[in-house]
Amino acid sequence: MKKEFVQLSKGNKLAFDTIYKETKKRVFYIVYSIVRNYETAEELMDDVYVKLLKNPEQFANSMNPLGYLYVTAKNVGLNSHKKSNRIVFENIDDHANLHNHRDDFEALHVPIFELAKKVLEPDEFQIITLCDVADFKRREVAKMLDLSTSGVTYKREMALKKLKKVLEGNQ
Amino acid sequence: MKDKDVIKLLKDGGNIMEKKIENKEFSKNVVVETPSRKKSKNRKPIFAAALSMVLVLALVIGGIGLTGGVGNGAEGDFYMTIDINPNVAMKGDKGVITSVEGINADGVIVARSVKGQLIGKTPEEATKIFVEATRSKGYIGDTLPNNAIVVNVTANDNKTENKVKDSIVAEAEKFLTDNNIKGEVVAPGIETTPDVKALADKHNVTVGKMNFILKAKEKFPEMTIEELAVMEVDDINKLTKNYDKDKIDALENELDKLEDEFEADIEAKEKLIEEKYETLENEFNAILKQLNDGGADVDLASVKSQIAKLKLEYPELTIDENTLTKENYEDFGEAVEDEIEKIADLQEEELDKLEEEFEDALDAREDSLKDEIGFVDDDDDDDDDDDDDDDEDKDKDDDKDDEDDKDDIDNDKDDKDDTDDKDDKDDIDNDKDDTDDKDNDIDDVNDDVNDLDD
Repeated sequence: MKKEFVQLSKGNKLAFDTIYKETKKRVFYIVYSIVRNYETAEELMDDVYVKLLKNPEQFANSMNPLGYLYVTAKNVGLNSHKKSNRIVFENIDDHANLHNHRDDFEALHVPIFELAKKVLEPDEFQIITLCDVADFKRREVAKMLDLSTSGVTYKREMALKKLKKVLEGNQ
Repeated sequence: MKDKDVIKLLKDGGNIMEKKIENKEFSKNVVVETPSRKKSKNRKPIFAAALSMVLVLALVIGGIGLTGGVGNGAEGDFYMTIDINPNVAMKGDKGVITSVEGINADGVIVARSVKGQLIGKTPEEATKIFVEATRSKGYIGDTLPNNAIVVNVTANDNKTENKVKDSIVAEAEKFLTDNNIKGEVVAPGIETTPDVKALADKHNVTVGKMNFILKAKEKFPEMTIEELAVMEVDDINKLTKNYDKDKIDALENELDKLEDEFEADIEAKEKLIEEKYETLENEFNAILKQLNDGGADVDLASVKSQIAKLKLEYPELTIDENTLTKENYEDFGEAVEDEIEKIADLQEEELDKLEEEFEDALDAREDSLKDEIGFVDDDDDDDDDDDDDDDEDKDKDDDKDDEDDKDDIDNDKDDKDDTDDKDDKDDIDNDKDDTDDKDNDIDDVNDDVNDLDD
């Protein structure tokens, strides 16, 4: 994948297609695991790629461009999350129409995620989203969250136990 | 409820989101993002920049097929089957798969291995994943002489039916071609005869359902088309495939237990691996700290001795502590960082290897479980049944011919058929003996298959 980042930095715009196609799911999940809202995550995902398109050299010159992209996704998610209480769109419909993108603002509520958001701590939600939905390795998640691998394993187990308990209670 | 059930729910939920993400076109969303950058007071240039970026991206990304396929067009409910042995049935709605069910033992095993990946996928994506899984488990492949993928689809309307069918046939054919696998994709009704169409219209069912009905009718000639037409297509399919609910349930239960055992085992082993590498990583981080803190005054002997000790314990380490000098402590620090990275890679490799070993062991155990529950190979089973039906028909004809005694040639044929029937009976008896014999092995089963084929 590093090759594509280098090609993009050299002006080969087609390399972007490959990068976008190969990474968009993971980028989305990194952001979603933080902001916990589909629509916001979908928007912010674009911000991540805009950053890449604006400054591809920065990514290509890093030791691990893919890791850099994921860290960028994490930072975009965190920044947005911090500001989320301050940013209030006056009218969601105006906002959507302005962006000519109404369909994508259709609410997407997946029951299991709605439940997970309610019962899990933010870091637990983040870990199960990254480990079990986005299929990141525990080691990768550990690096991303500045935790030890066994710390990720432990938190993931706790999260699954909590979810299981609530789901069994609902049955 | 087990941990894996929760994980499955999460993955299924993820599939719904992924479906949307997959269809997402980046170029449109650049416009979405730019006006929300409210920090700038001068919106016009930003909007202009956004427009230019859109134009650039339209050129760059223009024509990218991020979406596509039948998924966007197939709106109604549909029911599709893929029979390779493994046999599987999938139900779908609005162009995506909503449920998956193994119809025979192998179907159950393969469907379980990819179920999480199939939900929310388009029929062609699901077909690709399923046939790929059958290949990875050795059911089809370039070394096998005859590979057949039989697909059938029924939907609420003929248009959806044809659309889904065309897409999965194309995907299955592409799979065979791409992988140099000799074989064919069989899709009843892909070139529908007027008779089938007329029959389907007469009974107010789709052509796809009529294909399921006719297949069932071949097997159960005593049943009428009217009787079959009122049945659910899922039931018709299961009837045709000798679906044994008790055995399938027993297999599912045993596989659940098996997976739990394996899961517990693999988690314990993973934990050991993680602990091992975490300790190692911490040791190296401590060495790196000594180098960073001490600089040129670092205690060389102490660092060298720590590394030598670690190398004794972990022979996979390659860093050469003897290259450390007061002059090159910075370079050596970089080498230590590389070693930490290598340790992480080694851990990942070891975890991957462990998972592969467990998958192989699980595959082997799944196969033996199938035998223990009393499944026989479904292809053989189907063939047996077909042969039995043929034999019965032939017997009836033979009896009639014998009575009439009209034609010597027929008598000759009868004799041959009788001999064949006797051979088949002997083979079936042999099969029974083999099945009873718990020590039988795969070779015996293959011999039986060959006998039956003969």
